[in-house]
Amino acid sequence: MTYAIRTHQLTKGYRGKDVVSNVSMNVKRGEIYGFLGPNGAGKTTIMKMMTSLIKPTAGDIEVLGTRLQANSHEVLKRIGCIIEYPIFYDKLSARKNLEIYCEYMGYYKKDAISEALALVNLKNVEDVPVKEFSLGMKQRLGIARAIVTKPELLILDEPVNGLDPIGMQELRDLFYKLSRQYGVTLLISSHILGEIEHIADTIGIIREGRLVEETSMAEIRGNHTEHIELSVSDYPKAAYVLEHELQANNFQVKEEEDLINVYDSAISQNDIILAMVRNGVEIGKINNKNLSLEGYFMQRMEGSKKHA
Amino acid sequence: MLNLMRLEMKRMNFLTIGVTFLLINAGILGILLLLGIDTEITAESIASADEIMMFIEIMAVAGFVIYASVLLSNMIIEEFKSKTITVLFTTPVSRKQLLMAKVIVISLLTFVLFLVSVYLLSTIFSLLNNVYGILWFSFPLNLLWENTVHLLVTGVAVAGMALIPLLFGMIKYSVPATITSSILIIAIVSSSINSDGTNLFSFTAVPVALGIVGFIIAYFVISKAVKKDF
Repeated sequence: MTYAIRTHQLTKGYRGKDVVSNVSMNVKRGEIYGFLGPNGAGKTTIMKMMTSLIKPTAGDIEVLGTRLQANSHEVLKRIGCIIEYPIFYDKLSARKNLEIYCEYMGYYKKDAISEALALVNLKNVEDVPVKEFSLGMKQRLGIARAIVTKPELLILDEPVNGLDPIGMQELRDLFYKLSRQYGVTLLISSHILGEIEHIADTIGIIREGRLVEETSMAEIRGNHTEHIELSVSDYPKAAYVLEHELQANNFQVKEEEDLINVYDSAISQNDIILAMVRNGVEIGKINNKNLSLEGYFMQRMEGSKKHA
Repeated sequence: MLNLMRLEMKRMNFLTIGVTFLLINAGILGILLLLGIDTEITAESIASADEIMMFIEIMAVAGFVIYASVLLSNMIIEEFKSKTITVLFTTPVSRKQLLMAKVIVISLLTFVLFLVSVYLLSTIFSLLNNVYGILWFSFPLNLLWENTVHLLVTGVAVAGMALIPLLFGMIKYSVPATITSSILIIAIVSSSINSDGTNLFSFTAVPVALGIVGFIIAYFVISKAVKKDF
């Protein structure tokens, strides 16, 4: 397995306080890596380190096979990125902005700019100064700039911010196409899970500068998302039955919500109904639930809070 | 490096620069013509062709050092302030070379504009003086050629001096600080230090020293920006 990005014990501190600590993440070539975390978790800082905008305090970064050092800028030729929010020469037109970028990138293909603008659906505005653009248009132009040089790796920091739902869907489709048709590796950060849930292959969750989890979406779907939800008449007794009779070790009692969630995949609905009936616990309702990534994410977040 | 300089120049608006150059020269020429209004007052500070020469030089220095601060603001300070520099930093160019290219372009341009301006103004004023007798003494053109070495040295010094405002401008990426500091530098070097009109600029060592300081400041500012996190 080859990796597009690997970080090893990556740490960045400002004034003695670590904003990113010991992050070791692995982004495989060709995949879409969803980088999730609340605002201020350190996503942008990590992405800036990957593009050499800031230097790590400790740890290593390997991007496209090159270990980043103080003056390794050659590898940037193969990367496209949006960091934080898209920045442009406001007085210049969209096209001019891309032209300048292409020249510094050393990329001279003639039609590339028109193609990129068409891909992000920015039509008839290429000669308009960027200062007249809306946030959504700037975001699209930022993506056009990131992809104009046909990079192998795209690092996109909250790329669908400021877009309407249709625009979001459009760009998600574009990302998916880039990944599947052109084999581009994408690292996409977001604080909104729904944005990347459907296209990501791997999810990395970051919280307070630490990588809490890194799993493939397939695994998350298979292992964690399905659970049985039931409401009963007697919660302590139901919990006792689950624990001792069914040997369940992964369930959650939320009495105030009138709910029990059973995550053990070995236990079926049928097992639960039989056990409850045997012990005289009345079941109000019972059904299988598919937890969305959001639920899973929240669960992970709360879990790590408890440990912290 | 040359390629980066070419890219910088491509982004500059040479029409604006040309117009500004002409306006600055027109302004200085206007001041020179005023000298002819009351020759008695003029005689108190300017009494020879050498002194006229020095006067033209100082005016050109003032004009183009201040103009260089405008270029520094547009091409360096503004890029840092609006963060567009970070876009360039994510392209495969060395930060050091990128910033050096900007500084060298500004420095070279200041050098050229200064020299062209001094030669142009001296020639025009010399001709006008011959025809209309603006001053009571003649201002022969061969003085210009005799001073070539001095002018070249001054030109290099001015190219360095023009970079001093970077030090103040880059502290908070402030355009006003850049331009104000350039005006202050001019005010200091051109102020008279005694009654016969001698000023700091007339000792060649002063502009040369300031020029060296300017180049050192540019180097210092660049090395700092190269290491900075964005």
